[in-house]
This record gives sequence, C-alpha cells and structure tokens, in this order.
Amino acid sequence: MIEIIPSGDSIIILKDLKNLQSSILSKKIEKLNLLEIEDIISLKNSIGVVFNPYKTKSDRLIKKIQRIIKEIKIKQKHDFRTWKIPICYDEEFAIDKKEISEYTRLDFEEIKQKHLNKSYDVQIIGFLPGFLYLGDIDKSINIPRKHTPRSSIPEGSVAIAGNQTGIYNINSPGGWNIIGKTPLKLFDKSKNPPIDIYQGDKIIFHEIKKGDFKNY
Amino acid sequence: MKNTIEILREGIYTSIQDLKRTGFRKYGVPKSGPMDEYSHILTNWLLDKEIISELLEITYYGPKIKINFDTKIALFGSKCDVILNNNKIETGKSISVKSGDILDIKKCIDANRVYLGFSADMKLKNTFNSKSTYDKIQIGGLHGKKLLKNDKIEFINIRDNKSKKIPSSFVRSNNQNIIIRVIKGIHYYKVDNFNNENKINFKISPNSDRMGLRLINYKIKLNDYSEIESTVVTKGSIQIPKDGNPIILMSDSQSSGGYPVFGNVCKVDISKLSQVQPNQKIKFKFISLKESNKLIEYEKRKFMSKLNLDLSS
Repeated sequence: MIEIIPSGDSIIILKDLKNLQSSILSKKIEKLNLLEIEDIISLKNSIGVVFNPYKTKSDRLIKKIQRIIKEIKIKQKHDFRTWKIPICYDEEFAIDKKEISEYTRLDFEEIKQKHLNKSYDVQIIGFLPGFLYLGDIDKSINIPRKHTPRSSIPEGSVAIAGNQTGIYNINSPGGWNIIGKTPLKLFDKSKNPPIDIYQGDKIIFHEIKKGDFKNY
Repeated sequence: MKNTIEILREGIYTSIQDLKRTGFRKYGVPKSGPMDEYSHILTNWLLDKEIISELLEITYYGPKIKINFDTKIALFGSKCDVILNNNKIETGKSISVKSGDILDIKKCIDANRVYLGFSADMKLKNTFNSKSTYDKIQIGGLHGKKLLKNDKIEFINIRDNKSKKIPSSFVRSNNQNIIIRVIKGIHYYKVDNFNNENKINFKISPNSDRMGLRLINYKIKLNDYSEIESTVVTKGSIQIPKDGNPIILMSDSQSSGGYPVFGNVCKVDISKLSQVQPNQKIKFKFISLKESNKLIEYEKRKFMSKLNLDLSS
C-alpha cells in the first residue's frame, strides 16, 4: 500500500513511489478532475497534492485517494516518448566550461562526450516555469551547485549540478553550472499546456554548431 | 466612450491578481494570486463578485487612477488614505463613483497591501485560466507586468449593487505582537534549536517579495544537513536554507523545493502573515493539524453566517 501523509493543512504527499510510478499515478489522479484538488505535482519518488482546505480535509482526501489508487492498475509499460534535443557547447554558451573542467579534472571535450552519451529521464518538471530536471548524469561529471547563484541565466541554457542535468526554459536566476545551450523553445507561455515534454519521457542530446542556431 | 480606468501615477507595485490559476504548478507556473486572500475575498464580497475574481493588489504606496465610467468601487486590506476627488473616503465599504472621478490611493499605513475592486469585470485575456500577473514570465494583467503610468484597463459587465460595509468582526487589527500558528513540517525532526517557541522572535526582512517572506533575527540550526529529496511546497510552507534564516513561501511560490520543511503556516493565518510589515516581529505557535482544521471550519461558518459567503465555492 502507498503511504500518504499530510504536510500542513493543504497538502498531502504520496510517499516512496518507485521509479516513474509518480508520473503514471499523478496522471490518473488528474483525470478524475476532483474539484477539491488545486494542483498535482509529481516528483521523482513522490506526488504532492495541493488542495483547498475549505473544500475538504487531508484525512478525507487521503482516504479517497487510497480508495482510488487501489483500483488503478499500473502497467509496466507506458508510452513515454523520446526527445532529441540539439545542444551547442560553444564557449559563448558554456559559460562555466572552465570551472567544470577544473572541478572534474577532465578536459571539456571529454565532459561533452560524457554528457552526450547518455539518454536521460525527465525526472521533474518545475521549480521554475518549464525547468527540466534530467538524470542521472555520468558520475565523473558530478559537480555541486555554485555557491552564489547567477542572477540571470539565458533561456535555453543547459546546466549540470549534482547527478542531474537541467534545461532552463526561461530567463532566470540559478545556481547550476552552464555547459551549453539549446536553440529550442521548449516552454511556450502562449500554449496550454505550455510544454509538450512529460515527466518520464527520455531526452537525448545531440551536438550542433553555433552556426546551426538559425535553423531552429 | 469605452469604460476604462487610466493610471495617472503608478505607485510602487500594483498588479492584477485573481484566484484562478490552479493546475499549472506541475509545469512550474505558480498559482500567483493575492498575497492576502482574506482581504481579497472580502473586497469582492463588497462588490457582490465571485470570491476568485480579479482585483488590483496595491503594495506600499498606491496609484492615482482616473475612472471613466459610473460604477462602484471598494478597497480593503491595509489601512490607507484614499482621496476621491478632494475628499477622503473610507476603506472597507463599497462607494459609488462617477465618470471623470479621480481616485488617489496613498501610503499603506498598518500593513503592506490593499485591494481595489470595481463592480465590473476587467476585459483582459486569461493566461493559464487566470488574469493574475506573474512578471517573471510576463503573464497576466495588462501586459504581464505591474501597472504603469498611462495604462488603461477596459471594463465590461458593469453592474450596480447595493452598498455594503465590512462588519467590524472581520476587520483585523495589525498590532505589534503577531503570533503565527504553524503545523510542524515533515522535516521538523531535523531542527536542533527550537525548544521554546514563545521566546523566539523573527523579523520580516525587507528583502521579501511575492515569492517568499524572508525571516531574520533567529537562525534555525539542523542536526543533519544531508541532502533531502525535493518535496512539494505551497503558500505557507516554511523552508530552512543552509544559512538558517527561514523562508515562508507565498503566492508566487515554486512548486517543489530541496530545503527541509520546518512547518506550514496554518491556512487561516497566511493572510495575516502577508500583511506583517518589514522589520516587524512575529512569533510562531505550534498547533496540530486537527486544530488548524477546526480554525478553517470556524472561519467557513463565520463567513457563511455573517456574510452569506461560501468559502468553499
């Protein structure tokens, strides 16, 4: 049985979910269109359900969701898509190139190959609008977040921190180490939903040259 | 002639906010909406509007506005001096205005924000189901930003409703000793130095904004600084970053966070908290989830019995 706990008076958390179970389960709960629920946020191993406490209470909602998920069968196979994302590692975009090389004691060419050679799961979408948390990256290129976050990171920047790589899809402050840039605009505020990529989808980066940017 | 209002002076930060942007936090888009939902709801009540309808949220010092149609207006939230043509008017009641009137909203006196509504609907497009302004990605409002001088907002569905006044039992006093009730959070067990909560004072840092209130004056230490898994947070969640100064997430809160969650401000105290002025002191008082739920029910009954207003609508 999935453990569900309250967090304050307006959130319940479905805990200890296995790999990508959160993505499938959150979509199923969403489809029920429960009016008391405001937001369903799916993380790597948990789901947070934010609700309106004037409409229901956490114990009631926990019971309701327990009952619902008992009836949900989670297929092992699911239609996750694979996205090929172009990335340019030119030094104009890879603004933390030097620091990453120094920290990992690898030359940038090697870092690049390690970053390119894996397919990544989309683990979480969010924190910032459209920010994609992808993982896991090769252990040899793990690097901590910067001590002082940059006040502005350009849209499209691809960065690494810890065992994850991420895509900044809006201009924003941030503490990750910038390794390159994609010309794609993955977050479009004029569309609903604003992003086509789902949690659980796979991302493969392929390298492009700076001159190719105009083709996207 | 179209029914508009025109911004003659923009004030410090006035933005359009409603309570309609739900369901988009999974893409990282915050709910936004009024910081002080209590005052927002009561302002809409004064105008017989749905509690989630859009209003102007006015921060610290207000705008000067020319009104180009006959309507009713209402203001509620912080106490502030409001001048309609050369006469001072009261907040907390609906007031008739005529086309050509000039409304001048001065400084917020005892709190941070005051809400201004009209008995008409703003003719603005929705982004992610809402008119709420979120300037980080420039959505909502008139142009995705705070209102600026010379901006014009058009109104439709102009109605006439009877004059109303907020009963005194709904008027909050923003006094000096503010106690914020908190439910202990899922990482509270990590907290090392919080044994006597009624002796610990926090101050609201002037460095706070619509995303979060930063607390200073007392640093919370943890007995374990190992990385935790990201967890879902919402308005009222209290996070403890490495420097120990708590952050209470507010309307433009991110959807998840990697800092330990110390607690969650109980729903009925979040609005009051949003109005605590920079450098004013607050204390936390722990209550159980059950007690918090009782407060929510009490508030719901009070709104229903005294104002005939359903907070669950």
